[in-house]
Amino acid sequence: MNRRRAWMRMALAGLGAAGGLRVAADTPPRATETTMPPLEWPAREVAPGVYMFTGSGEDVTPANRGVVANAACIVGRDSVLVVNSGSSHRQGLAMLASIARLTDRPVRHAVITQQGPEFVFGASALRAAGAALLAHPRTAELIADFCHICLARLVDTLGEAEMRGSAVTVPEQAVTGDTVIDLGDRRVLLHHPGPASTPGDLVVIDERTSTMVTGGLASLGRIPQLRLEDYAGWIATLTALEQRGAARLIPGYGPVGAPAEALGRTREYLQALDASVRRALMRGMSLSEARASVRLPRFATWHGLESVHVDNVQRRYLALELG
Amino acid sequence: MIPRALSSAPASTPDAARRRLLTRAAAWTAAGTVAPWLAGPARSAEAAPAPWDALRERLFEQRPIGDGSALLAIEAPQRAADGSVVPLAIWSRPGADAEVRRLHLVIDENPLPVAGVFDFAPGHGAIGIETRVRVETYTWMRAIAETADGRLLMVSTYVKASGGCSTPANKDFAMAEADIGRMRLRVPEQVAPGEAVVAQLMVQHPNSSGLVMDQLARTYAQAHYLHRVAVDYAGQPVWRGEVNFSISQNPHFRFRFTPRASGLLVARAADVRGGEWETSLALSLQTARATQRSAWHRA
Repeated sequence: MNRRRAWMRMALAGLGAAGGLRVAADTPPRATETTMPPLEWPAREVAPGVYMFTGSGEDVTPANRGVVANAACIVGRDSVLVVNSGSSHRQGLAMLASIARLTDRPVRHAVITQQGPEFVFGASALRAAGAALLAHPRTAELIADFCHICLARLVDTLGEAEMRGSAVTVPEQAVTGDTVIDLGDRRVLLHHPGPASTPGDLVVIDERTSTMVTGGLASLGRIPQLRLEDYAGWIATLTALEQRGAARLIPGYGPVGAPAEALGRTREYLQALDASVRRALMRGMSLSEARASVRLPRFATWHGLESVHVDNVQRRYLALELG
Repeated sequence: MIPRALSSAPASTPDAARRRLLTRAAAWTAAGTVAPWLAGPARSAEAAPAPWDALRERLFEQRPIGDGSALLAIEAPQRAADGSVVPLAIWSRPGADAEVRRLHLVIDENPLPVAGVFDFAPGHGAIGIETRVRVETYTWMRAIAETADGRLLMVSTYVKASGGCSTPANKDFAMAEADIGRMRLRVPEQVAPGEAVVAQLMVQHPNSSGLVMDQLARTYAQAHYLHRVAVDYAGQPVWRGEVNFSISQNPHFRFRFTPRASGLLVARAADVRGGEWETSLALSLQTARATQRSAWHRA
């Protein structure tokens, strides 16, 4: 009977695919203006000297101008450290403008926590302003090898004007083990937990305020994205980070809050995804069927359920079917 | 029925591989309708705004091609984040009256636009192939069916794929030589005589084109891909596929067939370097507790 239902779904999905013929005309809306309105990306203080740049959590669209993921900065007596940089050169410039309103200290360090496009493309502006770019060597390698693909995709979605000045920018300072950056009156710890959401995840911890900052490793309100993930390593890392007992966490996506919230919900998603994909495989569902039907009601209100999640289903399916 | 002869000379370059593919294709299809497009130009000459017009001419000359949407459903995601694995399914619609004998899968913008040609045994009625393909860019994907009464019918869908931001780097996921050619056939647990079942065949294989640079070594790999797949049941052909590196790594085919009595489901695959593999599954209808035997040979 299951098979019959699967066939019915297939027939219905086929009708949907016929509707897909319209897609050619439905090309992504492009921002065609040659000059863009100025981009503001305000910094909000979430702990003394720790500021958050908030992303919308949505998929990248011209309406949100690529401001979808969070970033952060930590202001010290001597210098400023930035964590992540947004989706465009323009976003990097907007960060610098907001930081200039907070302090006259220079941005000396920018930490790129992973290779995701919504975290890396403001780095060109930060480097031009004199910041050293720090990342795990695997992250730097992946940026060098693959980010041109994501850049082309962002240009396609957001338009040349929005992306002007954006370039693949490879961090030059390698961070492999725990590294302390001294900002004069406060120490910031850069921690590589091992392969997790990506091979080279970094977590930034401001010791004075006990504030933890991550990239897409932790996500709240937006489906976490599988990107060359180490599934078991990721889940173990979420638990280990929770046990560090930080006061607050700025996740890659979603609001600042108690670390257990974003870390726990991310872990819950990963476990639910894994269990559902295993069930789909056990029932003999094809990759197309799994993509079309594996949904997680508990995450129904999160951004990316019909985009990021569907790609996650595929990645997990392909990883598990060989086993 | 199944051409099994394999050349002992390994393909040393993509060009050599393409020539071998041509030779095989010509041997494979007595009608010779396949060879002209395989001989067609690669990448550079595909720059025309509508590659399909030229492809259509090469593949089917002036034969009329009708709308196939009453006969077939084509299904692929509209957006694919990972262009290296894009699921593509073509199935007969329930109640469709025409019998599909051959199915051409065409990906307009790929270096080799014809991703596969599948032949189905006469009398099989409803057909279906679901596989996973590599897609280079935004492109039309098409399935053109040749029916038993000689008509050409097409269905198509547009896919926005942008390759491999999350495609594994080679060095992290290099396939062990010993794993290459491991095959697996699967059928549902319950199979009743005369009832169509969906079976799947998976072959562990890099299925590489030789067109992609190894990011670590900064060299181009040798072409190493499956070019022929055949499935038989109870001594009769179910389908034959002539395929290439447009099929993703670890080629995977789901297909429909209708067993009428217990028998042996046999799958064979051959690659351009002379590797040939075979696996079989004994189906005892009602229980279908199947025993799988695999073998591989290298010429």
